[in-house]
Amino acid sequence: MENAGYIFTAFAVIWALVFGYVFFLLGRQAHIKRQLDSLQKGIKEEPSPPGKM
Amino acid sequence: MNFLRKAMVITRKDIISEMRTKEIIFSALLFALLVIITFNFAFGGSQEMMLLVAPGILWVTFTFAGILSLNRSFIAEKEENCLEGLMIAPISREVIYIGKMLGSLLFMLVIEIIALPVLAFLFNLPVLSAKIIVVTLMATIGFVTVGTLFSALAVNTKAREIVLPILFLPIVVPIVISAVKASGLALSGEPWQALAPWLNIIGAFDAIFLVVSFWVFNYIIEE
Amino acid sequence: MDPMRRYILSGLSLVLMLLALYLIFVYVPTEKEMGIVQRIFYLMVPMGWLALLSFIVVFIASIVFLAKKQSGWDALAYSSAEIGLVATTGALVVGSLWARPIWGVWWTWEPRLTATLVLWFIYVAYFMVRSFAGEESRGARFAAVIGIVGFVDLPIVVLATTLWRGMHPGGVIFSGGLAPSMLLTLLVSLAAFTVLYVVLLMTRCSLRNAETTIKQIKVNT
Repeated sequence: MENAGYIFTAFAVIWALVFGYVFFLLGRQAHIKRQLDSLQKGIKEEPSPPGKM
Repeated sequence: MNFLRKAMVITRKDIISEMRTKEIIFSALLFALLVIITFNFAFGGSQEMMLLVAPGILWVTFTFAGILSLNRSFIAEKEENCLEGLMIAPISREVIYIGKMLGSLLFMLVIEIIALPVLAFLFNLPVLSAKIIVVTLMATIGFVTVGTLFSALAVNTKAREIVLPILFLPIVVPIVISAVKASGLALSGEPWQALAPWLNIIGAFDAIFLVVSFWVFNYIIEE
Repeated sequence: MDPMRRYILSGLSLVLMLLALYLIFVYVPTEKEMGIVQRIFYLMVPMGWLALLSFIVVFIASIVFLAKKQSGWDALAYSSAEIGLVATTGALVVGSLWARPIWGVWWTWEPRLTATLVLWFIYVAYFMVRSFAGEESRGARFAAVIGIVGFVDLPIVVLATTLWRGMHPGGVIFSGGLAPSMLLTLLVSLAAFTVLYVVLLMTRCSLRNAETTIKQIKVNT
């Protein structure tokens, strides 16, 4: 079991990268949701939108 | 040959403009000489050491001097808004590419023609052989094919001086490797067959990227 | 990209990953020359493969984007490049972790690692050009150019570095060739990571499309 440390580190790094990327994607999704919310608020606050967009 | 003639008009324009200020050639040449001299202090030593190190020094110098000169290629166009003028002219975008490319090629060759004897002088090495000249010519062509493309791209970005090297250096890795190996072989007196595989790589690079850059250039400068 | 398909693919990826894990650690016999460290191989090849696959997708998407100018293709290229950058980083790290116990050095300028390093820089250039370009549409075009030029360059880089350094000193090509059990493990691992790539790509792509649409809406109001 000499070099088990290396195998562990390799797998750990890959897992860290994958999960890190997943968290990053979740962050982007939250960002999009926030932007959509603010857009929606913007539309609601317009009593009568000036003509078509 | 109408195409080539139109391209040469642009090349002539670049040459004339450069002859007035001699900006590119002086700065890149001075840079090249200083780099060579600095390397001499960094590696200075026995003649055997010089033989080992010279090809690397040669090509590091040419690569970075090349970046300097390529950077200038489109900066003037951008700053004086010449690019719009060029684009309105009744020539295809590809003509602009070839014209600028030939200009850069010429400037780089001038710098190299001057730097090579200096290297031969300082390092006591037979750098002026036909083989080295061929390697230099082929590698420089490769440099300017992608270099002109990336220069046009870099000039349209916010950090133009840093963008060109970051794009350029990874892409020309094959040229640098091959040129250094081939130059080393030439300095050691090897026959042409020994250099052949490396020259093939450089040649393939030149041909492929001439075509690719030619096609893609349009997308860089369209507005 | 309906959610049902994504759930199925994610599930498939999980199943394949677990299967690969079992194969890598329980099923496959230990290689005699390198010992258990050799099992990193079943991680490294998929990483390198993903790095390459992502770039192939970037290449094709870039070409179509330049031809058709539809932002959906740019979103595909962008997403694949993002995943590719992560995969290439993984390939470099795992490559080092493999090199150290086997060859005693953390890094070596052998063909595959060097080409992977160059690929890493090309990916970085892809994103750098995008952010430095000033405006979105120009950035997308420039990035597409990098995607195309970089991809064409890659085979030449591999050729030059192979000629330069020669193959691994005995490294990846095992003394006994690839036993069938090893081949199976490798294929399953490759499949697991490929499906994972597809899932991540689909997800990122739809996120990216949403982001650009929102940006456009904001510009128009």
